[in-house]
Amino acid sequence: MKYMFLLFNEEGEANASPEAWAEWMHFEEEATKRVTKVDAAALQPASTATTVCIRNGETILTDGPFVDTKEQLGGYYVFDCRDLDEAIAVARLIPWAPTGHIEVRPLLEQSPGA
Amino acid sequence: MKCDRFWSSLLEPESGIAPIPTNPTGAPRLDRGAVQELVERAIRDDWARMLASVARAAGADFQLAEDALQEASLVALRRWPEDGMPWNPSLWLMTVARHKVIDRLRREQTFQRKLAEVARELDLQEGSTDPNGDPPDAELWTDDRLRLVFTCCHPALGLEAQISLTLRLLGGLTAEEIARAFLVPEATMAKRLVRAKRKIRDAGIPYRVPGIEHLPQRLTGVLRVIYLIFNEGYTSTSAEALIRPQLCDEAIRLARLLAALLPREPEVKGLLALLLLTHSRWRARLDRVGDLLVLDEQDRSLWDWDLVQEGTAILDSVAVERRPGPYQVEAAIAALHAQACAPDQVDWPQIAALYGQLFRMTANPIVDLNRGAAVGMAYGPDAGLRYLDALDQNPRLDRYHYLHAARADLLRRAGRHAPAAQAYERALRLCGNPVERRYLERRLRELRDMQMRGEAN
Repeated sequence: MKYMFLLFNEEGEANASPEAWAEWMHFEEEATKRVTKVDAAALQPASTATTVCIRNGETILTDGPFVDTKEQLGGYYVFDCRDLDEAIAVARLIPWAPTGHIEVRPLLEQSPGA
Repeated sequence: MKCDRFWSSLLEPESGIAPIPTNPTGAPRLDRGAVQELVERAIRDDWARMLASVARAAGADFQLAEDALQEASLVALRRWPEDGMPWNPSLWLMTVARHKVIDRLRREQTFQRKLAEVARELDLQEGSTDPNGDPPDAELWTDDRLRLVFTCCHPALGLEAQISLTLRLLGGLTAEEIARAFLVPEATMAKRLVRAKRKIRDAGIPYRVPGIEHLPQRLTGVLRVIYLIFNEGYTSTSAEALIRPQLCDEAIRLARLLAALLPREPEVKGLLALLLLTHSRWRARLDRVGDLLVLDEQDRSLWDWDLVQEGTAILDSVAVERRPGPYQVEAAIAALHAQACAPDQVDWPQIAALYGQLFRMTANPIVDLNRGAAVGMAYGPDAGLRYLDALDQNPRLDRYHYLHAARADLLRRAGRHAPAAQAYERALRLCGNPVERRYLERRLRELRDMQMRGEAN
């Protein structure tokens, strides 16, 4: 069975330190001794997020991450887009856009998992 | 002597004539004070052009672009007193800044990623990188500022961020000036700007004029930002001073720029006309002690008739295109006010009709409220009150002090003093602007005086 691991923490510069980096590499080494890595990525900070939804046929953009306790994370996609405009255009096509919300956030370009 | 040299150096060489050499033999050196003034002037007058162009080299990293321009000014302060003035100080600063950007990108890890973009941009700019060479293609400069407008007003940024960024990057206002205008601490404003610039860079907000299919919608957002900047200057929601002309002037400057950049968009001209016509009244809007005067109390000789004329002419030129939009309609209402020689000459029936049109376009309940007030002026207070009564059902409007102020004014005109006083009281409870509060208090006082005199008789 494939499992998804969602990582939560407070954001801080300390995460980008060489020590932190080494820890992540060590973790990956240990983990891949036991299981197969399917996919992984680090995200840019939440301040780079844009939340997209469609209501009454109108696209509504919100600056920042999705915050709502009623709706739950139900899946994810990673697409390679030219820029945020293209990413938003794709988000509008996702079937949940008219009922739920799509948080669009860039991946960190160089991360241990990438 | 110095002055002559300065002005001649600003003139762009005519085609076929060699550029003015930067330091002709025997030319007097410029003193540092004069150079500093020239650098500051170039930065102030040509800020948006320079930043827009440098930002393109910086791959829309606006912090990098701003820092590079700052560094270029320092280089100018060092070199111009020795080398003499370049014939085009702005182009010189811009070119040095672009080189700084490229140097910095070369040193950074992200260089590889940006290399392709930068190389492409440099190809486009070939021939314009020599500060003493030919001026760059005017079209390219123009396009860059248009990119800047649409990037600052990108809907993935919060509205406050859009407004602040537009004032900083396009208007050239400092974080401190913007903070003062919006009554937030300077540190808060600086943080907001840094965050917005980071989001543009890290989230991949494109530095681009949107394609034709998205242009109308995105343009609406840009016009709204300019309108809000003007409004914040004209009617601050909390400031003691009702009118902060700097923001109004800046909004008008932005609207002019946009009208020049997008001459085919009638709503841009509509907005410009609206701002000019509204701004024409700013000197008449307050009395000697800084209290608000409504339109029919204003001294019309204080209106700025040059602005009225310019605004009306722009509106006329765009109205013939028959592509109406909300800003054109609102400008028409402002123009009708300006055309009346006296308060009793205002064409209220037409204004009421225009508000009706505006409401059909915007579905904005506040527009409907203004329509009610105009109906009252056109067809008598009772007709206006009947209209406002219907609006009263809207809970959003009920909390809005203008509804109660409008009703109070109509009741006062109808001679129904007691209910008018009640409505003014209600408006006062909901109104936060001190200057508007003083207006409402004055009306209330007048009514109470009248009531007392009525009872005494």
